[in-house]
Amino acid sequence: MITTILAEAKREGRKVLTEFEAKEVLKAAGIPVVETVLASSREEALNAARRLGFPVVLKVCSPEIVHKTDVGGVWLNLSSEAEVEEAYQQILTAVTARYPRLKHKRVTVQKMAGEGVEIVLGISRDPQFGPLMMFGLGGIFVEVLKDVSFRLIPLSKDDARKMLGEIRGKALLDGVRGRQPVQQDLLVDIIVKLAHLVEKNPQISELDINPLIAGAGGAVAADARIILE
Amino acid sequence: MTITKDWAETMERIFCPRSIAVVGASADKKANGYQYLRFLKDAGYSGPLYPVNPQRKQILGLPVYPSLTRVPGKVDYVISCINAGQVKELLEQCAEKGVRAVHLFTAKLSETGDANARRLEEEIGQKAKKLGIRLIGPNCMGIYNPEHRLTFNHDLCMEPGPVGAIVQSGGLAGEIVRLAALRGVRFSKVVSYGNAVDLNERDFLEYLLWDKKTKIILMYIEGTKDGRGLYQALREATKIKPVVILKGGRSKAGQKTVASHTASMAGSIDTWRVMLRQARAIQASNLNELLDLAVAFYFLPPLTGKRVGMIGGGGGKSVLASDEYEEAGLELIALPREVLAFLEGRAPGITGWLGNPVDASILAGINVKASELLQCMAASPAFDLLSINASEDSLFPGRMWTAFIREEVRGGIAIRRKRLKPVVAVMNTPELEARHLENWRWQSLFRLRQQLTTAGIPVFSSPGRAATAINKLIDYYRYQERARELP
Repeated sequence: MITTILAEAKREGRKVLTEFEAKEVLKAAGIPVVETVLASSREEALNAARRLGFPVVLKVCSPEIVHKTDVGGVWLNLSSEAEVEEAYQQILTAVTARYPRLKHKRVTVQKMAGEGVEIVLGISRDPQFGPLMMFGLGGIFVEVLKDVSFRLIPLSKDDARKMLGEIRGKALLDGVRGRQPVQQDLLVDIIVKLAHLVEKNPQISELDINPLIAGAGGAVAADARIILE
Repeated sequence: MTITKDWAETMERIFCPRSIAVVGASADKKANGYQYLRFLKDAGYSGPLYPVNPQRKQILGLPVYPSLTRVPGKVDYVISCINAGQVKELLEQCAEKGVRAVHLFTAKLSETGDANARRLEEEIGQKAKKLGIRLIGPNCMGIYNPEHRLTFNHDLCMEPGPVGAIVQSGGLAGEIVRLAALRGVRFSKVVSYGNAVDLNERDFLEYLLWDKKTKIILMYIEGTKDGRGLYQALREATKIKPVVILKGGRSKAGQKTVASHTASMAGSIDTWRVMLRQARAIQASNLNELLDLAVAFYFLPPLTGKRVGMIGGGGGKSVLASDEYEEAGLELIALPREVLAFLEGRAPGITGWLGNPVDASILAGINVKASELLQCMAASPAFDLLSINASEDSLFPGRMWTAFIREEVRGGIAIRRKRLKPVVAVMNTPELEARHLENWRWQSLFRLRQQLTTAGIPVFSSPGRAATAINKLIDYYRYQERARELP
C-alpha cells in the first residue's frame, strides 16, 4: 500500500502527496487517522457525509493544490446536507476560478475531529544527522511558543516518552482544569511507528501531522502532509 | 562495531608506538621538528627515536637520518613536521618502510579554506588509504600517553590516570590536560586530531571505549563529517563509559528550502544538542564545566542518589549554596533523626536552630567539632552525598580561622579515607594574582585545597559549579544503571 502510493507519486513526478494519500500512508503504517472519503461528485460527497455522520469537513483534493486553505478549499464543521452541498459548490467555484485546467475536481469528506489536545508531529531531515522527529503542541503553541521537542531517528520507546516530558506544556497532556488526560502510551506508540515509517521509506523527506487530536478516548491525525525527495 | 585484530593492533601502534621517527626534525629551537624530539626525550620515551632530516647529522645528541627509508630499525609511528607539499612523498616512503601510522603535525591544508590546499589534503587522504596507512590530523598535536611517556608539550603532567580525551583543537588539548591536572585529574590517552582527513572522532571514541586504561572520556568537537556515525558510536559508548562533550561553534547546517512545518522548526534548533542528549553524552557548555565534570567523574563513585548533607559557611553563604544545589536538581533533605539526636545530646534545643545546610558558625558555639558532626552524617543512610562548603568568614584572625576550616577538611578527609560516604568540597578560591599567595589567608586556603585534592575529594570553585557537575554525574549513572538492565 505505502510503496504503491509513493511509487505512483514518483511516476507522476510529484513531490507532494495529497492529504488523502498522506493519510492512507499513515493508516497503512498503523497510525490512527480521521476517517476520510474521496468524492468526485456532489452526490458522492453527500453520501459520504451521511455515512460518516455530521458534522463533517470538506477539503479540495488535488495534487496541484498544496495550500488548500489559501484557495478557499477547506470548509469545517458542516452540520447538514444543505451545508455540505453549499460547501461543495463553493469549493468547485473557487478552485475552477483559480485553476481553470484542473484535471481532477475532487474533494475529501471527513468527520470533524472531536475535542482534544492539538498535537503536532513531524519529520524532517538534518543535513548532518539525518531524519529528525518533532513532537509538540499544535496550534498557537507551535506557532508562537515553539513548544516542541526533537529526536534523531531511529529512536527508542524511551526516547519517545522523553519527548512527551520535555515540552513546556506537558501539563496539557496530563489533563488540566478538569480535562481528561490524553493517552500518552498511544502518543508514544504513534511516534515510534512514524519513525519506523521513515526508516523503511527513505524517499519520504518531510512529513507533518498537524494536528493530531488527542483526547481521553484516543488520538487521530486530522490533517497530514508528506513530501518526497 | 566489530573489533578486528588488525584494527586493534594499528590503534595500539598509534597510542603506544614502540619506535618513533620525527620527519622534518630540526636543530632550530623555534621549530616543532625540534620541540617534538625534545618533549619525547625529556618525557623519557623509552623506544628508539629517529630524527629524519637530509641536512643534519645530529640533533639533541641523537643521530639523524637523511630519509625515512634509511632509518635502521622498524618504525611504528611517524610524526610529520614537514611542509604539506612533501607529505605524499613521505607516504610513499612510509609504505616502503612498513609504517602504518602517521601523525601529521603538518598544517596549512583544508583549514586555510584555500581550494588547492583542500584538494591536496584530499589527495593525501586518498594516497594514505591506498597505501594502507592511517593518518592522525593534519593540523594537530597528536598523542599524549603519559604511561607510555609520549607527549606533545613540555609541561604536561606525566603521571597516568583513567581519563581519555579526544580533542579536535591542538592548543585546547594541552590546556585541558594542564588545567585538569591542577585539580588532580590524570589521563590515560589524549589525542588532538585536527582536520581528521582519515581517523576521526568516531575512530578515537571507539578506541578509548575499547581501551582498558580509559574509564572516562572527554571530547571537544567543532564539527564532524559523519554525524550519524558519531551518533551511533556515542550511543553505544555511553552505555559503558561516561562521555563528556564540549561542542565548539554553533552549527549552522545549511537548510535546503523547506516545505513542511517540521522542517522550518528544525531549521531553528541546534541539532547537535538534540543528538548529544539522545546519545546520553554529558554535555558541558564551556571549558570550566568540562573540567568540573572531569573532576566529578574522576573522583566520585557511580552515585545515583541526590540527597545531600551540607556543612559550612554561615548565613548567606549557606542560603546561596542551598539555592544553587536545589536549582541544579539536588535535594537538601531535612536532618535525619539520628543526626538530630546526636546534636540534641550535645546541646539540648539546638535542633530548632540548626538545619541542613549545617551552619558551622553555630557549631562552634555549642562545642561540636565539624569533623564529629560529619562523622555522624556519614553514618546516616539518609544522605547519598556530603558536601563541605569550606568558606567560613574570617571573623577570627590567623590560626583561629585556619583551625576552624581545617576541622571541616579533616572531617571530610577521614570520611573519604574510610569510604563511608562520597564527599565533595566547595572552596571559593578566588581569582588571585601571584602577590596574593603571600597572604596567610589565601595561602592556607590553597594548602587546604591541596589536602582535599590529594585525599581524593573533588573541589569545586562555587556551589553552582559543584552542583551542576554532580547532578549531571548522577543523571548519567542513573541512565547507565537502566541501560545495563535492558537486553
